Amino acid sequence: MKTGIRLTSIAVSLAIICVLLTGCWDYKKIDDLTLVAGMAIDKASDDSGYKVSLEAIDFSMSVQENSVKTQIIQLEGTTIFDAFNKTKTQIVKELYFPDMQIICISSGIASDEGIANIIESCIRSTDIRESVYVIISRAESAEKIIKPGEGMSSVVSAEINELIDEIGNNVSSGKKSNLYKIYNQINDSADIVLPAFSVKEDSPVIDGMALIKDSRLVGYLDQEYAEYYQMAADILNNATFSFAIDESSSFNTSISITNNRSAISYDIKENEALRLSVNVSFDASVREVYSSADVDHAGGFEMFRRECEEHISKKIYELTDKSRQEYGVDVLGFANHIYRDAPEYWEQIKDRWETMLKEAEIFVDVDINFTNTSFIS
Amino acid sequence: MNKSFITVRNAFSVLFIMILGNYLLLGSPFNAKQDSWLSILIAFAIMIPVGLMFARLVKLYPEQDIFFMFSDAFGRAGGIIGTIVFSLYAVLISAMVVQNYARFFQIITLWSTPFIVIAAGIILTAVYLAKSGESALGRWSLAIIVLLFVLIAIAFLMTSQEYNFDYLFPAFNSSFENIFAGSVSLLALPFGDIVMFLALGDSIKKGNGSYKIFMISIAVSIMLMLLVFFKNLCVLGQSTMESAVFPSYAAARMASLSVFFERIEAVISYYFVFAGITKTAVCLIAAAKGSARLLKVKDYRSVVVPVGLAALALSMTLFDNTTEMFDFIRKYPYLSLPLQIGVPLLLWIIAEIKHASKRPLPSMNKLLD
Repeated sequence: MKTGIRLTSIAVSLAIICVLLTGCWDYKKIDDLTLVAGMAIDKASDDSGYKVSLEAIDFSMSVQENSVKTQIIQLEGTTIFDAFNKTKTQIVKELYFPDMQIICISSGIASDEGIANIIESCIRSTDIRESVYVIISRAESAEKIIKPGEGMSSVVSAEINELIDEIGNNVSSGKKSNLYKIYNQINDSADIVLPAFSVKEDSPVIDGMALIKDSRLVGYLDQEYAEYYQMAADILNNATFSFAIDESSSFNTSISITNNRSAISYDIKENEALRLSVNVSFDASVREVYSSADVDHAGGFEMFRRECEEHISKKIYELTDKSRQEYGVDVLGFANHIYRDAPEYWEQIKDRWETMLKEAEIFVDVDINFTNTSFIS
Repeated sequence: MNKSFITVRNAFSVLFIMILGNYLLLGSPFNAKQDSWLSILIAFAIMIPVGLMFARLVKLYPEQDIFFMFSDAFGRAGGIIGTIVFSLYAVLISAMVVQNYARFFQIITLWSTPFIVIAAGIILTAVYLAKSGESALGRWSLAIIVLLFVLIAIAFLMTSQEYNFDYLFPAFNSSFENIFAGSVSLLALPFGDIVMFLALGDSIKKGNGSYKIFMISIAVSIMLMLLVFFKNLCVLGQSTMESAVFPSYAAARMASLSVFFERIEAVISYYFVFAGITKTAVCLIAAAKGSARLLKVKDYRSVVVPVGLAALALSMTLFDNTTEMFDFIRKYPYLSLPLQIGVPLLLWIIAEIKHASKRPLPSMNKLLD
């Protein structure tokens, strides 16, 4: 009898579960979603808000043509999420952001309004992942960066994501910049370096580094400094890069770098001025030497090593000096280093930091350990 | 009625989940920013005597729950008042825990699902667990603890690429007031809530090392708290950690092992709810035992359902939004610490005096020996 009641209650419970719990309120089918791969943010046409362009993956076309197709959805709103809401007038399907890979901000917005509000809106959203990359567009609009060119069949945002993922590994190209890291830097009032992109032959290409101060874009460092910045900022893993050692370009070389290590430090001089030091060391192997100089004997090789060290030191000095003098940007994060090392001292100098940075003596030391000269001695 | 006992290992698991479950969900108080680990250590230092006091109470009243202790120490009227207050407090904690977890799910994924559905899901499971008895609760907690260690190890491994140890500095840069404020918050939530475990005192067999249960669970929890705090800080950084409503969940969102294995936060969110169910079940058992004593009902299990429904009703009306919820959590120590530490302290002092007076005087021969 007791077993019968028990079995009946289980059967009734299962029946109720089958009828009532067929799916929760938030159940979503993939057919009902529009996957957003990337987002570009420009100023609205009337300058009163944002024009948001979303690179969305079009499943219906993708299935028919057996390749991934994307479409650009564009709308304007007073805020970014206002623009998202307005997409409901254009597409029936719900926008799905957790797979979004990049956010591209136009240089106009970054320099005039700053990026703080956009970053905060995105990080507040549970839909957008904190690890999404943020880039700055050097093209006339951010939309151009994520718009597929003629004949392009791949997802542009995914390609940009891969380019950024490779930073520090062979492709020399600025700095990785996740949403939450930028949020931290904005809150710490730190200067920020973001990858800048432009369009070349209908494809997005990395085009230097965008310098952000007080959350506003203040200028760019050209792509020629990218490798040197990575060395000094300790974000280089493995890379092969080429450079002309002398001004006349009669001494060109390529070296492969591994085990890059860099450290920044500071000293307070007698007159209370600062001496900021950058120490870089790495292992390297020679890939190419285009020069009349004989590097295949001990004296020649020593000269070659010295020339390389001097060249890299000079370039690191240049990028640091250019950033501080032209844009007032502390590109290698000396301020953050001083704050973490000596918070009391930082409290004393933080109000005059910009002047101190400009007047500081900068010392760069590069130490290259050539481990081999590849297949020939 | 067959009395259901908990083994030492299972009792440790219940206490451990009670402490760490809430901590993992809500994170560490961040009053002292990167120095908040000092708050955890100070809370540990304060919890050692508090834990010893709880263990001593269990030893003084073997195989008895906190409500019996109230009656014995405070007398009939005092016992009734103590039982009413602690039963209400247990219902309040249940409702609060349900609010925390239901709000968490509403924020992260179930935006359209009505609050009552999520809250009822948690409460009904906790009611079932509470009705299954202390022994089942202990075995369930042990299973959860294994899952917890696996998840923490995975989270550590998968976020290791994101560690930035610079976020730990400047060290020792916060004022003592800020550090201590963090410790007080930790004492109230999650540590203080383990007072509810005294309601399970009748399930611990006499001689089953109560000191071991309390001290090991507090010490191991502290170690994991420190590890989780450092991991979250090194991954998220100070600003994100400060503004993240659920820091452990936010850190888990960064976890990835190459591009093949990522998005473990879904698994972690399931763990959160398991831990929430465990803590709610302990509080429901406490409230049910108190209510059964007041109503002179022999088996507390028959009042678990009404108590659970009361907790569900309270959780529906407790806070209207997350801002109110976190505001209440900030003020929670003022309400909870007198009940979590003050009342047990008074109980312990009276119990010691009573037991000392009851103890037979040593015979003259023994004294001469």
